[in-house]
Amino acid sequence: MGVNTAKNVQVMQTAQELGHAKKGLIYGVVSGATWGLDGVILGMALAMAPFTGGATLYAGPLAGAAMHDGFAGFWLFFYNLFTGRSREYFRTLRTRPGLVVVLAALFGGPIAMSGYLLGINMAGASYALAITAMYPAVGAILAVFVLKEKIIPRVWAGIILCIGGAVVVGYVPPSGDFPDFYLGLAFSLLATLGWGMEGVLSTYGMDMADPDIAIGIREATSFFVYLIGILPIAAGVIVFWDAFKEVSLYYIAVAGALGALSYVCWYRALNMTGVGRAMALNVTYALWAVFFSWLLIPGFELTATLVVGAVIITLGTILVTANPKELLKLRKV
Amino acid sequence: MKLPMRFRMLHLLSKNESLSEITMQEALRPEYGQEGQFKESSIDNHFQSMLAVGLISIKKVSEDASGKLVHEYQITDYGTGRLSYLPKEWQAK
Repeated sequence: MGVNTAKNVQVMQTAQELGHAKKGLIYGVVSGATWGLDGVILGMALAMAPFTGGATLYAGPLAGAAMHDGFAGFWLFFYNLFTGRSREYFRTLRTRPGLVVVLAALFGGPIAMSGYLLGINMAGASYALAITAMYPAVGAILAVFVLKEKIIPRVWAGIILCIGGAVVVGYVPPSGDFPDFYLGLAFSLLATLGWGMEGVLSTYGMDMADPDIAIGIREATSFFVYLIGILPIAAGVIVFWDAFKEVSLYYIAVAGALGALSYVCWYRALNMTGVGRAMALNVTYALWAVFFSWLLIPGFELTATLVVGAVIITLGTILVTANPKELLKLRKV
Repeated sequence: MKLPMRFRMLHLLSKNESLSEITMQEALRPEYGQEGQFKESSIDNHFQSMLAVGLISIKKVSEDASGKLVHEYQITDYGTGRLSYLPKEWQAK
Protein backbone atom coordinates (compact mmCIF):
# COMPACT_ATOMS: atom_id res chain seq x y z
CA MET A 1 0.00 0.00 0.00
CA GLY A 2 2.80 2.36 1.11
CA VAL A 3 4.89 1.45 -1.94
CA ASN A 4 1.93 2.06 -4.26
CA THR A 5 1.31 5.48 -2.72
CA ALA A 6 4.96 6.44 -3.13
CA LYS A 7 4.87 5.28 -6.77
CA ASN A 8 1.67 7.25 -7.34
CA VAL A 9 3.24 10.40 -5.90
CA GLN A 10 6.32 9.94 -8.10
CA VAL A 11 4.15 9.51 -11.21
CA MET A 12 2.17 12.64 -10.34
CA GLN A 13 5.40 14.56 -9.70
CA THR A 14 6.90 13.56 -13.06
CA ALA A 15 3.61 14.50 -14.78
CA GLN A 16 3.69 17.92 -13.11
CA GLU A 17 7.30 18.61 -14.15
CA LEU A 18 6.54 17.37 -17.68
CA GLY A 19 3.52 19.66 -17.83
CA HIS A 20 5.77 22.63 -17.02
CA ALA A 21 8.31 21.59 -19.69
CA LYS A 22 5.63 21.03 -22.36
CA LYS A 23 4.10 24.42 -21.59
CA GLY A 24 7.55 25.92 -22.26
CA LEU A 25 7.70 24.21 -25.67
CA ILE A 26 4.24 25.55 -26.56
CA TYR A 27 5.36 29.06 -25.55
CA GLY A 28 8.37 28.62 -27.88
CA VAL A 29 6.17 27.72 -30.86
CA VAL A 30 3.72 30.58 -30.13
CA SER A 31 6.67 33.00 -29.89
CA GLY A 32 7.75 31.97 -33.42
CA ALA A 33 4.23 32.24 -34.87
CA THR A 34 3.47 35.65 -33.34
CA TRP A 35 6.92 36.97 -34.32
CA GLY A 36 6.21 35.89 -37.91
CA LEU A 37 2.86 37.73 -37.94
CA ASP A 38 4.47 40.71 -36.19
CA GLY A 39 7.10 40.89 -38.96
CA VAL A 40 4.48 40.82 -41.72
CA ILE A 41 2.47 43.65 -40.13
CA LEU A 42 5.60 45.66 -39.32
CA GLY A 43 6.67 45.20 -42.95
CA MET A 44 3.30 46.60 -44.10
CA ALA A 45 3.79 49.62 -41.80
CA LEU A 46 7.35 50.25 -43.00
CA ALA A 47 6.10 50.33 -46.60
CA MET A 48 3.87 53.32 -45.70
CA ALA A 49 4.54 56.99 -44.95
CA PRO A 50 6.56 58.31 -43.16
CA PHE A 51 8.85 55.26 -42.95
CA THR A 52 9.60 55.21 -46.69
CA GLY A 53 11.15 58.70 -46.42
CA GLY A 54 13.84 60.05 -44.11
CA ALA A 55 17.23 61.69 -44.54
CA THR A 56 19.17 58.40 -44.39
CA LEU A 57 18.45 54.88 -45.60
CA TYR A 58 18.18 53.61 -42.02
CA ALA A 59 16.02 56.41 -40.62
CA GLY A 60 12.69 54.76 -41.51
CA PRO A 61 13.44 51.17 -40.39
CA LEU A 62 15.14 52.34 -37.18
CA ALA A 63 12.29 54.72 -36.33
CA GLY A 64 9.89 51.82 -36.99
CA ALA A 65 11.94 49.49 -34.77
CA ALA A 66 11.98 52.11 -31.99
CA MET A 67 8.21 52.58 -32.19
CA HIS A 68 7.65 48.83 -32.29
CA ASP A 69 9.64 48.29 -29.08
CA GLY A 70 8.02 51.37 -27.50
CA PHE A 71 4.52 50.03 -28.12
CA ALA A 72 5.54 46.55 -26.97
CA GLY A 73 6.94 48.01 -23.73
CA PHE A 74 3.78 50.11 -23.27
CA TRP A 75 1.42 47.10 -23.69
CA LEU A 76 3.61 44.98 -21.42
CA PHE A 77 3.55 47.62 -18.71
CA PHE A 78 -0.27 47.55 -18.71
CA TYR A 79 -0.28 43.76 -18.69
CA ASN A 80 2.05 43.72 -15.68
CA LEU A 81 0.08 46.52 -14.01
CA PHE A 82 -3.18 44.59 -14.28
CA THR A 83 -1.58 41.39 -13.05
CA GLY A 84 -0.34 43.22 -9.94
CA ARG A 85 3.37 43.27 -10.81
CA SER A 86 4.13 46.92 -11.63
CA ARG A 87 6.32 47.33 -8.52
CA GLU A 88 8.46 44.41 -9.63
CA TYR A 89 10.01 46.65 -12.34
CA PHE A 90 11.87 48.83 -9.81
CA ARG A 91 12.64 45.94 -7.47
CA THR A 92 14.18 43.97 -10.34
CA LEU A 93 16.18 46.93 -11.62
CA ARG A 94 17.80 47.30 -8.20
CA THR A 95 19.32 43.83 -8.37
CA ARG A 96 22.24 42.60 -10.46
CA PRO A 97 20.04 40.10 -12.40
CA GLY A 98 17.83 43.10 -13.34
CA LEU A 99 20.86 44.95 -14.71
CA VAL A 100 21.86 41.83 -16.65
CA VAL A 101 18.41 41.97 -18.31
CA VAL A 102 19.10 45.63 -19.24
CA LEU A 103 22.42 44.54 -20.79
CA ALA A 104 20.54 41.79 -22.68
CA ALA A 105 18.16 44.47 -23.98
CA LEU A 106 21.07 46.51 -25.35
CA PHE A 107 22.47 43.47 -27.15
CA GLY A 108 19.14 42.26 -28.54
CA GLY A 109 17.54 45.64 -29.30
CA PRO A 110 19.65 48.50 -30.63
CA ILE A 111 22.94 46.61 -31.21
CA ALA A 112 21.52 43.56 -33.01
CA MET A 113 18.78 45.39 -34.91
CA SER A 114 21.10 48.21 -36.08
CA GLY A 115 23.70 45.59 -37.10
CA TYR A 116 21.05 43.68 -39.05
CA LEU A 117 19.82 46.78 -40.91
CA LEU A 118 23.39 47.91 -41.70
CA GLY A 119 24.20 44.34 -42.79
CA ILE A 120 21.27 44.33 -45.24
CA ASN A 121 22.34 47.68 -46.60
CA MET A 122 26.04 46.89 -47.03
CA ALA A 123 26.05 43.17 -47.91
CA GLY A 124 22.53 42.55 -49.24
CA ALA A 125 19.53 40.86 -47.62
CA SER A 126 20.52 37.28 -48.59
CA TYR A 127 23.83 37.33 -46.77
CA ALA A 128 22.53 39.35 -43.81
CA LEU A 129 19.62 36.93 -43.35
CA ALA A 130 21.77 33.81 -43.76
CA ILE A 131 24.24 35.05 -41.14
CA THR A 132 21.72 36.39 -38.63
CA ALA A 133 19.58 33.23 -38.86
CA MET A 134 22.46 31.48 -37.07
CA TYR A 135 21.67 33.23 -33.80
CA PRO A 136 20.11 30.08 -32.23
CA ALA A 137 23.41 28.23 -32.72
CA VAL A 138 25.39 31.11 -31.18
CA GLY A 139 22.89 31.26 -28.30
CA ALA A 140 23.04 27.49 -27.75
CA ILE A 141 26.86 27.44 -27.73
CA LEU A 142 26.98 30.35 -25.27
CA ALA A 143 24.33 28.64 -23.12
CA VAL A 144 26.44 25.48 -22.85
CA PHE A 145 29.38 27.50 -21.50
CA VAL A 146 27.66 30.26 -19.52
CA LEU A 147 24.58 28.43 -18.19
CA LYS A 148 25.96 24.87 -18.32
CA GLU A 149 22.87 23.95 -20.34
CA LYS A 150 22.48 20.33 -21.44
CA ILE A 151 21.97 19.99 -25.20
CA ILE A 152 22.07 16.49 -26.70
CA PRO A 153 23.13 15.72 -30.33
CA ARG A 154 19.52 15.27 -31.55
CA VAL A 155 18.60 18.76 -30.33
CA TRP A 156 21.76 20.22 -31.95
CA ALA A 157 20.62 18.61 -35.22
CA GLY A 158 17.17 20.18 -34.76
CA ILE A 159 18.67 23.62 -34.11
CA ILE A 160 20.83 23.33 -37.26
CA LEU A 161 17.82 22.23 -39.36
CA CYS A 162 15.71 25.14 -38.07
CA ILE A 163 18.51 27.55 -39.00
CA GLY A 164 18.97 25.91 -42.40
CA GLY A 165 15.22 26.09 -43.06
CA ALA A 166 15.12 29.77 -42.07
CA VAL A 167 17.95 30.51 -44.53
CA VAL A 168 16.21 28.59 -47.36
CA VAL A 169 12.87 30.35 -46.72
CA GLY A 170 14.41 33.82 -46.76
CA TYR A 171 16.97 33.28 -49.50
CA VAL A 172 16.91 35.68 -52.42
CA PRO A 173 19.75 35.46 -54.99
CA PRO A 174 22.20 38.32 -54.33
CA SER A 175 22.09 41.18 -56.79
CA GLY A 176 23.51 44.70 -56.95
CA ASP A 177 26.83 46.26 -56.08
CA PHE A 178 28.04 46.30 -52.48
CA PRO A 179 31.27 48.28 -52.05
CA ASP A 180 31.24 47.72 -48.26
CA PHE A 181 30.40 44.03 -48.54
CA TYR A 182 32.78 42.75 -45.85
CA LEU A 183 31.78 45.48 -43.42
CA GLY A 184 28.18 44.41 -44.04
CA LEU A 185 29.09 40.82 -43.17
CA ALA A 186 30.74 42.09 -39.96
CA PHE A 187 27.58 44.00 -39.00
CA SER A 188 25.45 40.91 -39.70
CA LEU A 189 27.77 38.91 -37.47
CA LEU A 190 27.41 41.57 -34.78
CA ALA A 191 23.61 41.17 -34.98
CA THR A 192 23.95 37.38 -34.68
CA LEU A 193 26.11 37.73 -31.59
CA GLY A 194 23.73 40.37 -30.21
CA TRP A 195 20.66 38.11 -30.43
CA GLY A 196 22.60 35.12 -29.14
CA MET A 197 23.89 37.13 -26.18
CA GLU A 198 20.41 38.49 -25.47
CA GLY A 199 19.00 35.01 -25.01
CA VAL A 200 21.76 33.85 -22.68
CA LEU A 201 21.98 37.02 -20.59
CA SER A 202 18.22 37.38 -20.17
CA THR A 203 17.89 33.70 -19.21
CA TYR A 204 20.64 34.20 -16.64
CA GLY A 205 18.77 37.20 -15.19
CA MET A 206 15.41 35.40 -15.26
CA ASP A 207 16.69 32.69 -12.91
CA MET A 208 15.82 35.23 -10.22
CA ALA A 209 13.45 37.59 -12.00
CA ASP A 210 9.93 37.12 -13.36
CA PRO A 211 10.13 36.59 -17.18
CA ASP A 212 7.17 38.94 -17.78
CA ILE A 213 8.97 41.72 -15.90
CA ALA A 214 12.27 40.93 -17.62
CA ILE A 215 10.68 41.37 -21.04
CA GLY A 216 8.96 44.59 -19.91
CA ILE A 217 12.38 45.96 -18.90
CA ARG A 218 13.92 44.71 -22.14
CA GLU A 219 11.41 46.50 -24.39
CA ALA A 220 11.48 49.75 -22.38
CA THR A 221 15.31 49.83 -22.34
CA SER A 222 15.46 49.13 -26.04
CA PHE A 223 12.93 51.91 -26.81
CA PHE A 224 14.74 54.59 -24.76
CA VAL A 225 18.16 53.70 -26.19
CA TYR A 226 16.77 53.92 -29.74
CA LEU A 227 15.10 57.24 -28.96
CA ILE A 228 18.04 58.89 -27.18
CA GLY A 229 21.10 57.15 -28.62
CA ILE A 230 20.32 55.75 -32.08
CA LEU A 231 17.64 57.83 -33.83
CA PRO A 232 19.50 61.16 -33.51
CA ILE A 233 22.58 59.59 -35.16
CA ALA A 234 20.51 57.96 -37.95
CA ALA A 235 18.45 61.14 -38.52
CA GLY A 236 15.34 59.19 -37.58
CA VAL A 237 13.82 61.56 -35.01
CA ILE A 238 11.70 63.42 -37.59
CA VAL A 239 10.36 60.16 -39.05
CA PHE A 240 9.56 58.98 -35.53
CA TRP A 241 7.40 62.02 -34.68
CA ASP A 242 5.84 62.19 -38.16
CA ALA A 243 4.52 58.64 -37.70
CA PHE A 244 2.12 59.87 -35.01
CA LYS A 245 0.18 61.72 -37.74
CA GLU A 246 -0.09 58.76 -40.11
CA VAL A 247 -2.22 55.61 -40.45
CA SER A 248 0.93 53.50 -40.18
CA LEU A 249 0.89 54.25 -36.44
CA TYR A 250 -2.04 51.84 -35.98
CA TYR A 251 -0.15 49.10 -37.81
CA ILE A 252 2.88 49.62 -35.57
CA ALA A 253 0.66 49.58 -32.47
CA VAL A 254 -0.76 46.20 -33.54
CA ALA A 255 2.72 44.91 -34.43
CA GLY A 256 3.91 46.11 -31.00
CA ALA A 257 1.14 44.15 -29.30
CA LEU A 258 2.11 41.03 -31.27
CA GLY A 259 5.76 41.69 -30.47
CA ALA A 260 4.91 41.95 -26.77
CA LEU A 261 3.04 38.63 -26.90
CA SER A 262 5.84 37.00 -28.86
CA TYR A 263 8.52 38.22 -26.46
CA VAL A 264 6.51 37.19 -23.38
CA CYS A 265 6.26 33.70 -24.87
CA TRP A 266 9.94 33.68 -25.90
CA TYR A 267 11.23 34.79 -22.51
CA ARG A 268 8.98 32.25 -20.75
CA ALA A 269 10.23 29.56 -23.14
CA LEU A 270 13.88 30.55 -22.49
CA ASN A 271 13.19 30.21 -18.78
CA MET A 272 11.21 26.97 -19.01
CA THR A 273 12.88 25.00 -21.84
CA GLY A 274 16.39 26.47 -22.00
CA VAL A 275 18.11 28.77 -24.51
CA GLY A 276 18.90 26.15 -27.21
CA ARG A 277 15.35 24.90 -27.64
CA ALA A 278 13.60 28.25 -27.17
CA MET A 279 15.76 29.91 -29.83
CA ALA A 280 15.26 27.06 -32.31
CA LEU A 281 11.49 27.36 -31.85
CA ASN A 282 11.67 31.15 -32.12
CA VAL A 283 13.53 31.04 -35.45
CA THR A 284 10.53 29.20 -36.96
CA TYR A 285 9.16 32.74 -37.39
CA ALA A 286 10.65 32.57 -40.92
CA LEU A 287 8.14 29.83 -41.75
CA TRP A 288 5.24 31.57 -40.01
CA ALA A 289 6.02 34.83 -41.81
CA VAL A 290 5.59 33.03 -45.15
CA PHE A 291 2.28 31.56 -44.00
CA PHE A 292 0.91 34.89 -42.79
CA SER A 293 2.18 36.72 -45.89
CA TRP A 294 0.32 34.18 -48.05
CA LEU A 295 -2.78 34.72 -45.89
CA LEU A 296 -2.68 38.54 -45.67
CA ILE A 297 -0.86 39.87 -48.74
CA PRO A 298 -2.82 39.60 -52.03
CA GLY A 299 -0.79 38.06 -54.86
CA PHE A 300 1.87 36.52 -52.55
CA GLU A 301 3.30 33.44 -54.30
CA LEU A 302 4.28 30.18 -52.58
CA THR A 303 7.46 29.06 -54.35
CA ALA A 304 9.23 25.68 -54.23
CA THR A 305 12.01 27.23 -52.08
CA LEU A 306 9.47 28.32 -49.48
CA VAL A 307 7.90 24.85 -49.32
CA VAL A 308 11.32 23.13 -49.02
CA GLY A 309 12.33 25.58 -46.26
CA ALA A 310 9.06 24.96 -44.45
CA VAL A 311 9.60 21.18 -44.51
CA ILE A 312 13.17 21.57 -43.16
CA ILE A 313 11.99 23.86 -40.32
CA THR A 314 9.20 21.44 -39.41
CA LEU A 315 11.67 18.53 -39.23
CA GLY A 316 14.01 20.62 -37.07
CA THR A 317 11.18 21.57 -34.73
CA ILE A 318 10.22 17.90 -34.32
CA LEU A 319 13.81 17.02 -33.38
CA VAL A 320 14.01 19.88 -30.88
CA THR A 321 10.72 19.10 -29.15
CA ALA A 322 10.71 15.29 -29.51
CA ASN A 323 11.27 14.26 -25.90
CA PRO A 324 10.12 16.76 -23.24
CA LYS A 325 11.44 14.40 -20.52
CA GLU A 326 14.90 15.79 -21.31
CA LEU A 327 13.63 19.16 -20.05
CA LEU A 328 13.16 18.06 -16.46
CA LYS A 329 16.72 19.14 -15.64
CA LEU A 330 17.92 21.83 -17.98
CA ARG A 331 21.44 22.33 -16.69
CA LYS A 332 24.45 20.37 -15.50
CA VAL A 333 24.47 21.91 -12.01
CA MET B 1 13.18 48.00 -0.56
CA LYS B 2 11.55 44.65 -1.22
CA LEU B 3 13.17 42.06 -3.48
CA PRO B 4 11.51 40.77 -6.65
CA MET B 5 9.21 37.99 -5.39
CA ARG B 6 11.11 35.14 -7.11
CA PHE B 7 14.41 36.34 -5.65
CA ARG B 8 12.81 36.67 -2.20
CA MET B 9 11.61 33.07 -2.46
CA LEU B 10 15.18 31.94 -3.10
CA HIS B 11 16.37 34.09 -0.19
CA LEU B 12 13.74 32.62 2.14
CA LEU B 13 14.80 29.10 1.14
CA SER B 14 18.36 29.99 2.16
CA LYS B 15 17.09 30.94 5.64
CA ASN B 16 15.01 27.79 6.14
CA GLU B 17 15.89 24.14 5.85
CA SER B 18 12.97 23.69 3.46
CA LEU B 19 9.66 25.35 2.58
CA SER B 20 6.50 24.01 0.95
CA GLU B 21 4.02 25.86 -1.27
CA ILE B 22 1.93 26.54 1.84
CA THR B 23 4.71 27.64 4.20
CA MET B 24 6.25 29.79 1.45
CA GLN B 25 2.91 31.50 0.89
CA GLU B 26 2.66 32.26 4.61
CA ALA B 27 6.24 33.56 4.70
CA LEU B 28 5.60 35.86 1.72
CA ARG B 29 2.18 37.09 2.88
CA PRO B 30 3.35 39.95 5.18
CA GLU B 31 5.45 41.49 2.36
CA TYR B 32 3.56 40.65 -0.83
CA GLY B 33 0.08 39.70 0.40
CA GLN B 34 -1.51 42.94 -0.81
CA GLU B 35 -0.19 42.58 -4.37
CA GLY B 36 -2.02 41.06 -7.32
CA GLN B 37 0.93 38.76 -8.06
CA PHE B 38 0.50 37.04 -4.68
CA LYS B 39 -1.27 33.95 -6.01
CA GLU B 40 -0.80 30.24 -5.50
CA SER B 41 -0.29 29.77 -9.25
CA SER B 42 2.47 32.43 -9.42
CA ILE B 43 4.31 30.93 -6.47
CA ASP B 44 4.01 27.42 -7.98
CA ASN B 45 5.32 28.72 -11.28
CA HIS B 46 8.36 30.37 -9.66
CA PHE B 47 9.09 27.10 -7.81
CA GLN B 48 8.84 25.08 -11.05
CA SER B 49 11.15 27.43 -12.96
CA MET B 50 13.76 27.54 -10.18
CA LEU B 51 13.57 23.75 -9.97
CA ALA B 52 14.12 23.29 -13.74
CA VAL B 53 17.28 25.46 -13.75
CA GLY B 54 18.70 23.81 -10.62
CA LEU B 55 18.46 26.69 -8.11
CA ILE B 56 16.33 24.52 -5.81
CA SER B 57 15.58 20.83 -5.37
CA ILE B 58 12.75 18.79 -3.93
CA LYS B 59 13.46 17.45 -0.46
CA LYS B 60 10.17 15.62 -0.04
CA VAL B 61 6.94 15.25 -1.96
CA SER B 62 3.64 13.95 -0.63
CA GLU B 63 -0.06 13.94 -1.46
CA ASP B 64 -2.54 15.96 0.63
CA ALA B 65 -6.10 14.91 1.52
CA SER B 66 -7.49 16.48 -1.68
CA GLY B 67 -5.02 14.50 -3.84
CA LYS B 68 -2.80 17.51 -4.58
CA LEU B 69 0.98 17.22 -4.43
CA VAL B 70 2.73 19.08 -1.62
CA HIS B 71 6.47 19.67 -2.04
CA GLU B 72 9.19 20.55 0.43
CA TYR B 73 11.76 22.58 -1.52
CA GLN B 74 15.34 23.29 -0.50
CA ILE B 75 18.01 25.56 -1.97
CA THR B 76 20.92 23.92 -3.84
CA ASP B 77 24.61 24.96 -3.73
CA TYR B 78 24.10 26.52 -7.16
CA GLY B 79 21.17 28.55 -5.77
CA THR B 80 23.18 29.59 -2.72
CA GLY B 81 25.89 30.89 -5.07
CA ARG B 82 23.35 33.17 -6.74
CA LEU B 83 22.58 34.89 -3.42
CA SER B 84 25.76 36.91 -3.94
CA TYR B 85 23.63 38.96 -6.36
CA LEU B 86 21.44 40.20 -3.53
CA PRO B 87 21.51 43.97 -2.96
CA LYS B 88 23.87 44.91 -0.09
CA GLU B 89 21.13 45.59 2.46
CA TRP B 90 19.83 42.05 1.92
CA GLN B 91 23.19 40.30 2.17
CA ALA B 92 23.22 40.49 5.97
CA LYS B 93 19.54 39.60 6.47
